[in-house]
Amino acid sequence: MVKMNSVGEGCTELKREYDQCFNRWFAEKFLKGDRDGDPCTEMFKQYQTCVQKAIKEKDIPVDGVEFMGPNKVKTDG
Amino acid sequence: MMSVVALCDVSGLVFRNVVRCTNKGQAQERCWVKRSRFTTNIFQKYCQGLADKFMKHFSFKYIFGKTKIALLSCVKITEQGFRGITIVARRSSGSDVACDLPHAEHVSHARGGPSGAASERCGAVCPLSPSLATAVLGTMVKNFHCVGLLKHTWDQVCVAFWQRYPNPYSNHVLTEDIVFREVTSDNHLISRRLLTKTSRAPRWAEKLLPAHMGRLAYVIEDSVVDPQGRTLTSVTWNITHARLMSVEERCVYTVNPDNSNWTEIKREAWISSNLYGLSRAIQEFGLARFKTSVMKTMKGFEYVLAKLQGETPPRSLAETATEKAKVTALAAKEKAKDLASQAQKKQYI
Repeated sequence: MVKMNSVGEGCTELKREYDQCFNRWFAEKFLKGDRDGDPCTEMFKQYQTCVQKAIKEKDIPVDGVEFMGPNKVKTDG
Repeated sequence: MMSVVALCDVSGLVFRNVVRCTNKGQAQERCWVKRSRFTTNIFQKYCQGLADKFMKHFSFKYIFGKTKIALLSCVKITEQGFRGITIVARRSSGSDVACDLPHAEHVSHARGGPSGAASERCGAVCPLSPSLATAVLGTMVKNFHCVGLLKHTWDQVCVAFWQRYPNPYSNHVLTEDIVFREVTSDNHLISRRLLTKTSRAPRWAEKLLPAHMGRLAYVIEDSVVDPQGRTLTSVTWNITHARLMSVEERCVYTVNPDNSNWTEIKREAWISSNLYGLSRAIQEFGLARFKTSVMKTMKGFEYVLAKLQGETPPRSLAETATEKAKVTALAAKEKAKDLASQAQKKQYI
């Protein structure tokens, strides 16, 4: 099955490994209310080191953006 | 920027509008009041919830006879989008009178009657210039909302949410990365996903855009999964090209109240543009493209869900839906093109 690439060309393998771990944990543990904890943290760290570097190199303006959106207060027209 | 808080229903006012757009990006409107006397009536407070954030305030000086009148106007925006303009006239004595001018399509001529017709709404007068409309529409207007249905359980939809790329409907999405993730103390999963998408601008826009504008757009999707409450909330917006066109989408995925095996998706979108003179056209284009994108998103979801369940994904339904969406999108795109060329012409009046 075709998978997505990472924005950092060298990070795709790490991304796919992490995704696989996450998807399993998410479906089998997290959604079922299991609070045992995320077994993918190590993989995630390695993946993040790689991808955050790529983001900086490409100058992608991810930082400083508030979680859940830039315009929190919105009137319903 | 003041917001207009008072408006009243007035009869007896007939306006002619001539809109001149200065190159400083302001719209100046000259209103010519036919009646020499205003009929003042009941003042009502304008709907607070609507008005304050989305009304822009233009003031114009106009001298009628020896009386100085400042003409103010504001844009009325409701859930259905841009509805029209309310012209409020403030006399030098400080009292206000106002008149509603509905959207240009519903223009009808109305003559003012004696003050007995006080509660009647003033009819529209002359075609409203689109430049005034485009000048104010640089603000965020909620102009799309819908509820979608996926005939899969909420759990399955959440699992598919993280695996929905790639799919046959997402060829424009080039990369996908989780750039932040955490389980909070109340057991919610919060994540930030970064997507790279090809940025497709229609030909009429390309001619008007600065040459260095990139072909790649970056989009962020923030989400919160609450496994106890069974909700997934996501917010998606573009972090590049935002001045040109900003699209923000909020979705809430919940268990369908009528069928616990199904999932309901409430979707709202805000589309805006800050480019003077083009913003209305861009909004229309953005809206048309967004509707197509919603359709693709749903199809992509269904496809991935079917694959995850080991079924053959339905294709014939996808094809008919695509056709219909194409027709609608095409109509809206033509409209956007039209608005763009109109805006171009009017800019230099």
